[in-house]
Amino acid sequence: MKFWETLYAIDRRVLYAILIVLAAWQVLKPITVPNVVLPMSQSMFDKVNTLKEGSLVLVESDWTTSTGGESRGQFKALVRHLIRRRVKFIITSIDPLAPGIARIHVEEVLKEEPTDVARYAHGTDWAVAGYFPNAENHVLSMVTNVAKTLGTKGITDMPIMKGIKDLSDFEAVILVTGSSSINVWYERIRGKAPVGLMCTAVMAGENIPYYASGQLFGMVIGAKGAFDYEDLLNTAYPDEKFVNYQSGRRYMSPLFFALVLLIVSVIVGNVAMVVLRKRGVQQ
Amino acid sequence: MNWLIAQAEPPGTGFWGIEPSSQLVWFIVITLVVTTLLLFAISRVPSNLRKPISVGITFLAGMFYVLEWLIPRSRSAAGDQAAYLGPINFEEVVPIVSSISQVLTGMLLALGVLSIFRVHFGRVFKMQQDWFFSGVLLVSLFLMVFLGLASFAGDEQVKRQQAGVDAALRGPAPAMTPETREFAETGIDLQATQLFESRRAPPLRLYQQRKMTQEQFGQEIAAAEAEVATLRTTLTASLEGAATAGTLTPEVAELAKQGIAAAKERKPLVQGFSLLFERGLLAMDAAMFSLIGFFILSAAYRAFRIRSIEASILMATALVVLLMFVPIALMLTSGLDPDSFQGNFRIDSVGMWLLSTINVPAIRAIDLGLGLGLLAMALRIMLGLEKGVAAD
Amino acid sequence: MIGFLAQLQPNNVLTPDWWRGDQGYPTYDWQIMHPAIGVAIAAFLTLGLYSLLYKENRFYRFVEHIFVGLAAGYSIYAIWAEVLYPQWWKPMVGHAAQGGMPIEIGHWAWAALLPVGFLAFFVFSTTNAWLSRIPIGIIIGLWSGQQLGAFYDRYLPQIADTARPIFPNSWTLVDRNAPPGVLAAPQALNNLILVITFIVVLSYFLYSFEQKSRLVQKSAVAGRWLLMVGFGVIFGTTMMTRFVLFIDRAYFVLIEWLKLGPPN
Repeated sequence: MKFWETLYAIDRRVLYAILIVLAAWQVLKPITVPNVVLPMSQSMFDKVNTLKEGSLVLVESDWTTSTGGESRGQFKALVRHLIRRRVKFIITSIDPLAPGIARIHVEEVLKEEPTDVARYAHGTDWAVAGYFPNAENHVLSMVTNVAKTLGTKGITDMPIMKGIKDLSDFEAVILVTGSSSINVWYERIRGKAPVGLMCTAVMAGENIPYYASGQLFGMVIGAKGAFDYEDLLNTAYPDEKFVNYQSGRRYMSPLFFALVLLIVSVIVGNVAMVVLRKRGVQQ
Repeated sequence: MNWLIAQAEPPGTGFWGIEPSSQLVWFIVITLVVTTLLLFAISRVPSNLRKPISVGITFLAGMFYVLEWLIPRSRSAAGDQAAYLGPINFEEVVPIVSSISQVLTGMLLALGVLSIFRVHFGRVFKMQQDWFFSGVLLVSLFLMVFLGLASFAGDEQVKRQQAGVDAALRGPAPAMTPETREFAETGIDLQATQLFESRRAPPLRLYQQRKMTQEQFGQEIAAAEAEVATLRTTLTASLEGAATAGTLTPEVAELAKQGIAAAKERKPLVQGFSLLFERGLLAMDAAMFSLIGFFILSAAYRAFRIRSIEASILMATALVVLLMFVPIALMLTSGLDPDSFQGNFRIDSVGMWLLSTINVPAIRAIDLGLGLGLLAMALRIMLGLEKGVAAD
Repeated sequence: MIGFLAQLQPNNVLTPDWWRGDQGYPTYDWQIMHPAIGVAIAAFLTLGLYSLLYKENRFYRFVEHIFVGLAAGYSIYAIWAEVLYPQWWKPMVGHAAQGGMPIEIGHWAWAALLPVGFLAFFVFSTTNAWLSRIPIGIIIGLWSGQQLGAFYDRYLPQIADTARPIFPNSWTLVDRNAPPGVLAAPQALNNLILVITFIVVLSYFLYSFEQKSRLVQKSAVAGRWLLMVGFGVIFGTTMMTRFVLFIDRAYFVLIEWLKLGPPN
């Protein structure tokens, strides 16, 4: 009896300690298993794979380190893919921290790419336009007149903007976000460019309807989505010189054990409640 | 509105655009005074006119985008599609309105900063409880602002200096100055550093993953260093040649521009800003949000009780979705052929069916309800019916 | 299965990289401090925040206030550097030709925005608080005007996608090579479930009138159950996101700082 009472009233710090030990063990000794790629991740990868060399993509990077566990892996995998396909990209953001973070990680990817691949130059092959505080007006302005909007950030004279007059000159708009900034794009894109989304898992449920309706050409969801994308990159670029796997694959096994702990906690909590209630013990 | 549009075009002075001079300063001061007087006059209106003014402004602001959406596109003089209302081309005006909105939003964000100052300066000056922590907050705030603005001032200086190098190169007799030479040397150092880091990164990764021995790693580094030394020699020779001739060449100009940017990044204040940003703010931003996972675990243990059908459905769905997003769990049913009937019972198949057949319409129904509510609220705001926004 | 179990066993002694002579940090003369010190500072601040898990303490409060100060300071810097300077100050004052930079004319009319923006601070005034509604009204008015088009672009495709065919024209199982226009029975059944789910969940939200009809009442109950599926998805995915955030921090402390294992 005391066992169930003790278990029911266990100090939360014991749970925290178990979680920390499990996560630490798996971070240090990750278990690697084969992956099953989700169809929405495959759609995103296929779309980027069809982009022609030299075409331009708008990447709206709204993630910060508060969602870095999932978004970093997604962002780096996307940038890697764009660089290997020789697709140019411009990064905008509606979060003040995000442009700096995006620049740091693009430069990390550029360092990790094989040295025999031609270098990507800032201003010619990629650019960070910067932070736009008012999302609704920013997106509508981009859809209406992208050249003047990006001109307010001083990148109009860069070679990457040559020939760009309208948003339809971009082959795709891809959002990497930990917030609901994608809603602003659904409402204002007016069919000018196809939209793709790389979001945290918590945003998955509310955005899958948009993938189902065709408003998104692809969706990469959470750390699993990052792993899917890394897996697909590894299939397309299997040469050892390419860095394909990073946080996406690394975080899968710690996540599994953390989720097992969660499920066990719910089961044990409920079983303890039932046992104590049957024995008439005050809870 | 052409006077606002012309800002991105080559210099063309007129009434609305003036060359930087004392005349411009006077016009700015007069505009500030006139606008302030106008707003002062508005503040003096009878109280029964206050609501019509604020509601009217809100309505006109809203009508701008309503008209922009409703007016059909017609072919503009340049040949592309645009929405016109008389002489106003919405394609040209929308970025201006967007800038106005962003500037006003930026100014409004200062309200939040003012609140922080009021609370924490008050605590420090009155030596209230926890005044020490408020002091820590204010010191961090001002340090970040100071270093950030110092870094930003450096950015502007970099642009001016790089433009100076371009101008010198375009001149009739591009000459090499000692300053340009110094920047070019920094540029050579930057290129050498970048080459070394890019050559070092792949073997370092293999070495850290225990796929390479220390001796092999040492050999890779030696090869990289030799390559960097060759690069330095080549670039230095090019620089010396140009310096001897006293002529600025395009290659040296490019090195100088890179060196200007690198010199700015290497300044102590800029390094301090990067340190505060990356190792301070970003690290804590990640840690703060990761604490939530612990609290959710604790809450799930103590409070998640499966007492009803709804709770059972919720937990069962959550379980399937959790398993679907973890490859180790997917491995349990990965042996079933996805093209066979048994393939329908794979965890990923069941999960995808739940997501696409049940979750999609359920969330869609909620979303649609929210959307209708937002539309109704937007119309109420524009018409001044919504209390507390534009009206009392 | 044996290979899976083998991976669970530790099979070598952990050898931190700093024992092996290379920490992977590039070091140069111009750096103000060794990069390892920066990583240590980040780890120190991270562990400071995690000390809350044990109990509320002064160390946590100290680090928390540093975080809030840095975040507020960065916002001030970003507002000026990314918004006010490029989109207001520079267009307003222009700049003279200097060095190689061409002249940019100044448009003095932008100065009118400053007093208008300043009106927002009247929210603290007891007598003239209504003036703050002018700049707020402009921003909210602009947002409101966009909602008409926003609703059309966002929700009409959603409604169109919900209107799916529910009558099959082929009674075979799904055939991926079937020509377009063929709707197999299983897919038609899925479409029917989707449409019914949409309708019953919508019926759950009918609050404008009393639900007297038994059909509507039962539909609302079914809608509530099906809604729980959506909430179950949200609950499950929320768990995942939050745990991954912690795992990422664990990776930072154990691998990037302490170097107890190989990096990604």
